[in-house]
Amino acid sequence: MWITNEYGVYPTPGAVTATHWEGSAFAPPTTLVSTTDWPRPSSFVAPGILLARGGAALVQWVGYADACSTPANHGQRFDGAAIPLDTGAPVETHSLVPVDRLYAGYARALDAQRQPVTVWLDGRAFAPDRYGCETLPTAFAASVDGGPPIAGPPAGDTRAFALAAAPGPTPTLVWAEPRRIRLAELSGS
Amino acid sequence: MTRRRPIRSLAGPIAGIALAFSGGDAVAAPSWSSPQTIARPTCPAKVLRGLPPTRVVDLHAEQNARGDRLVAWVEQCPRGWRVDAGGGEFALAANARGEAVLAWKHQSAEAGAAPVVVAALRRAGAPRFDGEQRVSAPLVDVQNAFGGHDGVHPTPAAAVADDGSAIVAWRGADASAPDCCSAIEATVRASGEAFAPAARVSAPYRHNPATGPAVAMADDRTAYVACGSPTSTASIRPRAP
Repeated sequence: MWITNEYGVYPTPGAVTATHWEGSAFAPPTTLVSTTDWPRPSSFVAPGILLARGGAALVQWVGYADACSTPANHGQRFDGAAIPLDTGAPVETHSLVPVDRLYAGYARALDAQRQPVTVWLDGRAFAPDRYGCETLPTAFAASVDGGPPIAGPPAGDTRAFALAAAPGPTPTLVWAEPRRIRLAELSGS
Repeated sequence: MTRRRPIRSLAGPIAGIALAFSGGDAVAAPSWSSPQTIARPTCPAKVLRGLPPTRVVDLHAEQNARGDRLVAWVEQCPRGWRVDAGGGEFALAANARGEAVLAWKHQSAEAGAAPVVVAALRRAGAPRFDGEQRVSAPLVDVQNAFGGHDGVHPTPAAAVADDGSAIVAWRGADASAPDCCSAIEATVRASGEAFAPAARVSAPYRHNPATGPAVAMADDRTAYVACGSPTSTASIRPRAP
């Protein structure tokens, strides 16, 4: 059993760590990334963990930074690292999404074949005032097991969405628009 | 002012959680299907012109091994100029058979009342949640790291095993000292039974971190709780009776 935790000084979690249950206690946590690494997001939020085929732990997190810069330009990023069950040593951290885009949200799950499915909201920069900048959603896209982006349906004015996958046969995206709840399947993954 | 609709499937004036159920078909085409509308918000259609639109502030989806889906969301209905974008978050968990647990913070309309955590259960194939049960004591707003009170209570977490055993965990208050501290609490239920009395499962946190716990439930009914803190990892392994 693998569990992720956020570590750091409240209210800014400064690292992502993972640990697993060893029968009677949790193993010492392994630090996967911290704000001392480069490029350095200001904090890490929304950690998650998926157990892939063979038991490897796929740990994922959002590196919180400027939302209106691309990951390649030290903006907000959605990264992950795999921890093989046999060694417990994490492999290199990698981006789960293309690094040349702006994003307005992320979701992750395993499909019925226990492949990681990542869904994201492409975004465009919006400045509500002279000081702030945020990203407005434009369209959904997905990637299966690190494969190429699969362009998805356009996103209306939504920030609330969810991805339902295993044990169901087909990953399913559900999202809320102002006057309707919509659903689309990602088949063939 | 924002009016939150009463929950449709459960009693109580909490933030409105609406539900939709849909049957799934296994389709082999390697692409996205055309979007379909599965439900419409339930806020009253007649609202004053110029008010902000209905907002869905949280949404969760689960599906069972057959592909039957359970979708739940919270709506905020416009009633005035101000829309509170915060609050309304909840936890939804389901197992392969479609049994599901819903857990949320119930805010009483009583002035000054602290929220409590409430959980409800849905049997596989049932059209509604039932067995609504208050599982926590009032959530006390302890001091944050800066000495203030921000009134933030993280969203509870829930998980359910394939036999229907379930766990709900939340950040509660450690009553060992006035205005101090928070701690993670959890309750488990065996299949077919009610949730047991809550138990504290972490060391006390001096302040009130913004993050809640994470939970998982293994097929052998072992429940796991994890929580972050600046200095330590806490965990528990309660076993449903």
